[in-house]
Amino acid sequence: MSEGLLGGLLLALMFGLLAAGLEVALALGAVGVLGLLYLKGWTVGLGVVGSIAWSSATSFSFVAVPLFVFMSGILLHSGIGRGLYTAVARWVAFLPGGLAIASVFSCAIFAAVSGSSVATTATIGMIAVPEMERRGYSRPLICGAMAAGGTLGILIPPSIPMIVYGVMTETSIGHLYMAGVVPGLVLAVLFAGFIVAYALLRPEAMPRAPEDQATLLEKLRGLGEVGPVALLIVVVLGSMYLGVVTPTEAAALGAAVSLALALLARRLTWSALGRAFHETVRTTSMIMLIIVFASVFSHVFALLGAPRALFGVVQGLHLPAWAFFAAVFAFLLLVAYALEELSVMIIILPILFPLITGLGFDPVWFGIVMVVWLEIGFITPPVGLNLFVIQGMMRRATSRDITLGTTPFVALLVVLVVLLFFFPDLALWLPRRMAPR
Amino acid sequence: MIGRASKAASLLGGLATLAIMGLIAFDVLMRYFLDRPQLFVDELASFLQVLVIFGGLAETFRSGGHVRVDLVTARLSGAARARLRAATLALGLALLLVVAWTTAESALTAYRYGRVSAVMLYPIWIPMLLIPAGLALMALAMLASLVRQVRAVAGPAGGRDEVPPEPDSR
Repeated sequence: MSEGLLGGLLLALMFGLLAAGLEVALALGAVGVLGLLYLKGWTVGLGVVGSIAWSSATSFSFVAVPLFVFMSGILLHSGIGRGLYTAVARWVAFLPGGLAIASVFSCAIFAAVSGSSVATTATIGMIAVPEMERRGYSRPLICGAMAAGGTLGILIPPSIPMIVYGVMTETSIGHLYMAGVVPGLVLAVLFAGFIVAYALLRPEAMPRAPEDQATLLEKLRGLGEVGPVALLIVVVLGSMYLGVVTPTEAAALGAAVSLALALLARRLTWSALGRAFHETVRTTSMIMLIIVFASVFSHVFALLGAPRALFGVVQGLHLPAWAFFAAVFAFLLLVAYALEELSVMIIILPILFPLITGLGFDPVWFGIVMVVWLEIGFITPPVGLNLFVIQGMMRRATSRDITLGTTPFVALLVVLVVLLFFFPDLALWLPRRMAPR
Repeated sequence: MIGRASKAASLLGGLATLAIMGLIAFDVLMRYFLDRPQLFVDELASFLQVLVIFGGLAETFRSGGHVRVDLVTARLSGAARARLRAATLALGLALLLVVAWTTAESALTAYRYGRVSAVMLYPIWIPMLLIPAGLALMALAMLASLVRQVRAVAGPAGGRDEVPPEPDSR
């Protein structure tokens, strides 16, 4: 059998198994194992599976994944970080749509200690959503601002998807983190700008109230509430930026300090710890099983020479780089509406990454683009991770509310990708200034 | 029985996370303040991570935590979906058994040849054995699910659909 035919058959089999509803990880594994058995035989082929499983499972950089999930769980279930929203609201409530802006900004701040968009939405939303509902903000707007604000959790470092991207493509996770900072801030401003504009055009969607005017004393007192989160930001990001620790070590320090803060505030119950454990193990097993079997799968495709062959095909098209990028991104946007994005990223990176970098795009820059794409995926109905969180918090939100509310924010995320394309330094300026580690 | 074992394994994974956190934080503090890096930490943390990943597999499966695509299956009839799920469960089970067998063999080989880790010379068959153990436990959980699924396929027409995650899982 020719290599091209075998590759095609395996791909077709994988899509068949995925469509049949086999677990994504197992579909990748089944195709990878079959490919190895055919190419290398029983003894050698299966031996490769064992060594790939061992090496991906013991990668030290991946250790940051459970640590960040654990830290988010502790913060969420102990309620540390909840005071953040109230404090931020006092400062920005005077703006049109102030409570929605406060949601976005407190998500942006919390994002600097959280590596997951779900945890960010859940932590901030727990206070922000009831507050906005009580004030009579329109439901689509609450859904949109909260879901979109939460996605800042993966763009502003730390970020679990950046760890996955970094390890899979051998890109520096520290550089990816720093590259996410400026785009994250730009995005928060874009979101806030949209909210202000919307509030000015449709004041009834975001009613204002006299209590929006906090006194300076109240504003300053609110800053005390931000203390624990500020400390965590210094521990997690400061130590990394200065080059004192690696991303994995920063994750361990962050988790340890979060646990200590929760203990000191007497907010750590056994049930909170149990839930944090459960979430940690569940998320880590799910992601890592996909990574283990995706590595087996991409090993087979590398044996078949598929990445090089594909690159040849793309080069043969003589497309300008921007056109190729636009085509890839348009395809990804369609996928974002249909599938679970993180697993899609793990599946396609081994194929897409060599193509993109081969055409001269920067690996760190492309990592940021992939994360922005994930953000889009997390808030596009019907299957966006953040939307499930919002639905859990707002029982009355209909799918129409959600679709209406998130669409403008999806458009703003696409605007960010366009900005990143024309001004790659938005992402690449900060990592160049970082202390090496 | 399988439920209890999965929960216990998952709890071990949680405790392993706590241990990793403590070890790495200890290493950073010792290195930064006392200039005494703890060389054993990186390897031990990586080995504990194997426990986090593979310890959690079975309970994650039981609670429906492994991502699946339902774009196509959601459009099928309940009976067709039930039969298809029985088939995919059987296939997944077979794959897990093959991979558990081959990873167990790798661990056995590591034990026979006395393979040790690069820095601290820890015997690596112990963490290696966690991989087939976790996969086998997930295979058992999948087998239990397959049994329920086959019963649903053979049972009364009204109940023919994909079986939900185990009720006692979170």
